[in-house]
Amino acid sequence: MMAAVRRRLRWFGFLAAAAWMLLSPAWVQLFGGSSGGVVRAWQMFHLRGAGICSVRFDDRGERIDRYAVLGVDRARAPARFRRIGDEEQARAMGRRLCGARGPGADVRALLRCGERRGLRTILDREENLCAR
Amino acid sequence: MRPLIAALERALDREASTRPAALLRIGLAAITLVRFAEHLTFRDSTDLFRLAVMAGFWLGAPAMLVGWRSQAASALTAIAVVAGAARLATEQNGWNHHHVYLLVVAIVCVAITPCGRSCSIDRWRALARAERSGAPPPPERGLVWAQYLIAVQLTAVYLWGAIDKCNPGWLHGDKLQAQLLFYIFDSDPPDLPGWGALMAALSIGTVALELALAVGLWFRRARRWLIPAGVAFHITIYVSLPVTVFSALSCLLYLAYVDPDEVHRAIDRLTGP
Repeated sequence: MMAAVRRRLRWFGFLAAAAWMLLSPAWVQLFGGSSGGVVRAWQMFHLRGAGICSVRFDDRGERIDRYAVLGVDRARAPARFRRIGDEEQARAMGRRLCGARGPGADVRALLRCGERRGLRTILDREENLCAR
Repeated sequence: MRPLIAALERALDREASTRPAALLRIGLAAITLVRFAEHLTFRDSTDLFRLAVMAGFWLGAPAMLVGWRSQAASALTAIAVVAGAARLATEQNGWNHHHVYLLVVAIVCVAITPCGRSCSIDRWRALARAERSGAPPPPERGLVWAQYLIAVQLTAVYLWGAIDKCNPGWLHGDKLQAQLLFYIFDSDPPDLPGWGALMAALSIGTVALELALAVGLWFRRARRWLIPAGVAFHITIYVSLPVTVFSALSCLLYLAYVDPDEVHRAIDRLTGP
């Protein structure tokens, strides 16, 4: 008798726990519900990668190594140099590169910034950053 | 439906070797100690609650490691970690992160399994009792259904992790690239031809592998290939992104998919004459 009860409890416990583990993330991922601190939706690293931009400077199509042009050692460069976080910082870096390359430089930037879902293109080489 | 019910009956009513549960217990205790020990000291115990969490942790985790009152020790460790995660989690210590949840689920499942019947002080004492009374050694067997719950949980991690990545930002490689910029390259991605295509290929490969792991780890033939692939995948993640113990934990939990008696025989073979 007790063995039968224990078996039923075991089955119920397993099925309830397995159903929760396998199905509860759907509440957040498929139906847009809130996790409420209870449901684990396994949406990993969503916020990581936001707040940093990928930037590629070039002068008439030739890629510029900003570390080499500005004489900065990459291993010792401060974070504010290494990490460009928005358009304003990219433009400021572009102006420094214009100054270092001298008159007639045509520095353009391909700037893509990290967001929750990936990278968004902010500057697409359409503008000569030395023009102003 | 019938094959599924038959498989469930085999899994839920089955008595099998407790050695995998013991190995899981030891591994989980080691990972728990690595993850939390440095934060649970007198230095950090500034109030009664923290002191209670610290006491529970330091009573539970080492006892779980050596297998003294194994199931109770595992339960106590789980309670301490849950209490700590619920009240003491911060952005810095990351106690509310995914890997802590997975760790707690695994410890709870181990606490339900008779994980002290093998490789433990509990086993040592049981053997001594049997010797004294002239009885045969107690079998290293028990109900192992909760061990399969660990596998279900890891399947859910892979499955929903893959589903979450099925969006243009991930599949084009942009999200992966942003993460690598954030943690490794700063604002200057490598000047490699085909860098964007490589990122896209790695992103799609990640989703494909996660789906394969979610389904394939349940099948013996596929495990032969998927376990090495999964271990390589987790090592790659570990060296690329700050995931703390998630990689080691996931690799350890692969044990939950393997037939317990197979593990038992493998250990016999390794340690036998």
